[in-house]
Amino acid sequence: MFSWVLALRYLQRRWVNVLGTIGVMVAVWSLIVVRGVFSGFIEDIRADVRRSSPDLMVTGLPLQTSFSSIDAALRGDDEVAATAPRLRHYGTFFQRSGGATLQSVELEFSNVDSSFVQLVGIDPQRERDVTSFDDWLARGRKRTARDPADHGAPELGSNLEVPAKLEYFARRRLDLSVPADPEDFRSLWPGLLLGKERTRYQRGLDIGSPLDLLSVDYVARAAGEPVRAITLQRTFAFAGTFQTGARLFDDSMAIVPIEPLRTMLGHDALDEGSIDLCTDVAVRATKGLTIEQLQTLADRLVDRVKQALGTPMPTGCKPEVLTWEQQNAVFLDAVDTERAMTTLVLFAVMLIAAFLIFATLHMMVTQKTKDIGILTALGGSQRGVGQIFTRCGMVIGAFGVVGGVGLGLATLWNLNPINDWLFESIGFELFPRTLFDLPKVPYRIETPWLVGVAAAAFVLTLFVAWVPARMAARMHPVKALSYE
Amino acid sequence: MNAPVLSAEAVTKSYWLGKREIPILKGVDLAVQRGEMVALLGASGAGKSTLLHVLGLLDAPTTGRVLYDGNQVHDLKVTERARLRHQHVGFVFQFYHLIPELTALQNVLLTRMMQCSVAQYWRQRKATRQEAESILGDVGLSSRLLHRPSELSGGERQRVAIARALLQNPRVVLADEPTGNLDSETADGVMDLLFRINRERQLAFLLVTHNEELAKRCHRVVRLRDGVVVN
Ligand SMILES: Nc1ncnc2c1ncn2[C@@H]1O[C@H](COP(=O)(O)OP(=O)(O)O)[C@@H](O)[C@H]1O
Ligand SMILES: [Mg+2]
Repeated sequence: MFSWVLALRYLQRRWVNVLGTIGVMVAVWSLIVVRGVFSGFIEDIRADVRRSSPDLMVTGLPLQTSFSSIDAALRGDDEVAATAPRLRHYGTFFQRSGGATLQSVELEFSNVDSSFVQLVGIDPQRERDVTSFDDWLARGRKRTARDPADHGAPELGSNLEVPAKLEYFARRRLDLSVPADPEDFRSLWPGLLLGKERTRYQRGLDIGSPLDLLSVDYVARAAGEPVRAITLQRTFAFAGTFQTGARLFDDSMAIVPIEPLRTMLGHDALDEGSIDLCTDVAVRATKGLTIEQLQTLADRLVDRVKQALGTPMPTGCKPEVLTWEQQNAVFLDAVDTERAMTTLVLFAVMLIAAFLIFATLHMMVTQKTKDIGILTALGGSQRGVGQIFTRCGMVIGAFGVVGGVGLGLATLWNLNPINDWLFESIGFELFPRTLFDLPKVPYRIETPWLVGVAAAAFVLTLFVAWVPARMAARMHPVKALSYE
Repeated sequence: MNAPVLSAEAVTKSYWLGKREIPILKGVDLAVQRGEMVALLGASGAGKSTLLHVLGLLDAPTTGRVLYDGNQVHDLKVTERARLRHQHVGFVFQFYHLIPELTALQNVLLTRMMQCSVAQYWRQRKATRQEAESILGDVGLSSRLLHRPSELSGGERQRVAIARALLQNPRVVLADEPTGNLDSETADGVMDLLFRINRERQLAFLLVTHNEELAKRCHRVVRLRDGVVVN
């Protein structure tokens, strides 16, 4: 009993211990808030990444792989619901600033405005079955407050082509030859979709505007002959914007119909001996598979692909089937690592708070040496004497934890109002949402984390209180009484 | 015949300074009977405080035995010794040794809290408080209940310490120069109080003092000289 009375009394007379409470409070608060926001972001990011990726992606295929050669094999598996070919290539594009001739090239050194693109040729019909392609387009069309330019309005043709009328007027604006009657005009330029963010600062980019694509391919005319580079050129029409939400994907990809890209790469569907070229195959699995089940499906599909391709495989060629997580592993791991590092740093705050408590309690034991002797003389047990100080720790920790959890939750619940208020009153954005293009700062309250942090903080304070408490309990009463 | 409330048999106590043994007590035999008031005289540094600590189980004798009511107690486990110390002996020190954070009343009440749980104390809190207030009144401090030690005079502090020892209901009080730090007038008052308590409660005292006059008023005088007790 006396240990409670004295613990409270000692604390009441030593406001320095409030520092320990504040320390714990700040540590718990920051662990909850930062983790909550981070997890919110990660959840959003994962949702975006998920949206941008098919369930499984067959990749690492040999050059000159025909889609039909492996499609049947893939679809032979009961858990494969749909497939779509992908043809990846790379290139740079120029936006014509006027007339038939190139008048100036603006070189932008900011990475977003680079004219380098990853071309992804897709079969729009099949793509719809595999990814939420229509959703990408819908998101790309959606206006935002910061982006008044209306890019994506028209419905695109079945092969992603821009309505002929729009191309007609674009050509007229650039003084390109067109028939007098728009009705006589037939579209020539295949459509090209760019990420929404990427086009935000691209001036004069209207639907139907030509984008001149320049690319390189390496070919060998016949077996044994040295490989030679050839330049490829093709004009596309800007057909609008898409947005998956995954910035890495949106900023680097240009989506084009697969056929013109095949033609560029020497496999025009009308040519004799051409193949339905692809570099990857996007796969949608049957609904409701867990990530582990996807993984086993992936393993099965690798075998099927290898079998379909037959042996021997060209050297350096290793077909793989990646789950949506693996496709984005570098990015997802980076975000996870960042969260882990931040958490680690914040745990250091906790350790500092613990050290503070240790220091104040240790000081208290030294100051109270004489009291310890008195209490022993009055019949206090060693345990009871020690408990004075563990109970001090308990009180400090409990207040800190309860305060920290309370403040943390209050902060998260009011995160957006607080963020808005900070921005409006002092122009400071705690969480710059433009960076992530989110209407609100996301957060996520994870109960296990909350409980874990609270428990860890409390146990830590108890532990650091236990050390001086043990020192107090083991003190020799006579020496304590005569302590000066 | 009743066993003495407190006795020492051939108690020795040595300190070690490095490897060198410094004997302080060299075979002390002493018995305090029920209700007896014994004065312990001795030069400064003779080992009087050391003896009191050994008798109060705050320190272990190097050799020899300590008995309470005829039972050997010096070799009990540490928790048992704490319990016995609480039940059997009350301490009064030269420097009062009150807890500065607590009021006079709380300092006295504290002794009742030493060996019981919160629940146990809660049940008896009113009775205990009344008892403590009446004891404080008895030692003349009914108007000082809520003062902290720093707000009390030396004599008043010692009275609080005495009240604290009394609330414990001990069988014997070990008082180590209780007036050593007080002016003679205040000291007389405190001593009168101790004599009165001894009379009224039949409480045994082992009283360390330098004052020969005072010692003569006790039932018996013993002297600690060269590490042994002589009558
Ligand atoms: N912890 C200790 N270590 C060594 N010597 C001590 C210790 N405590 C007390 N002493 C010595 O024991 C002797 C007796 O001390 P004490 O019992 O306080 O004397 P008294 O109370 O009679 O004045 C003194 O000489 C003192 O120096
Ligand atoms: Mg002494």
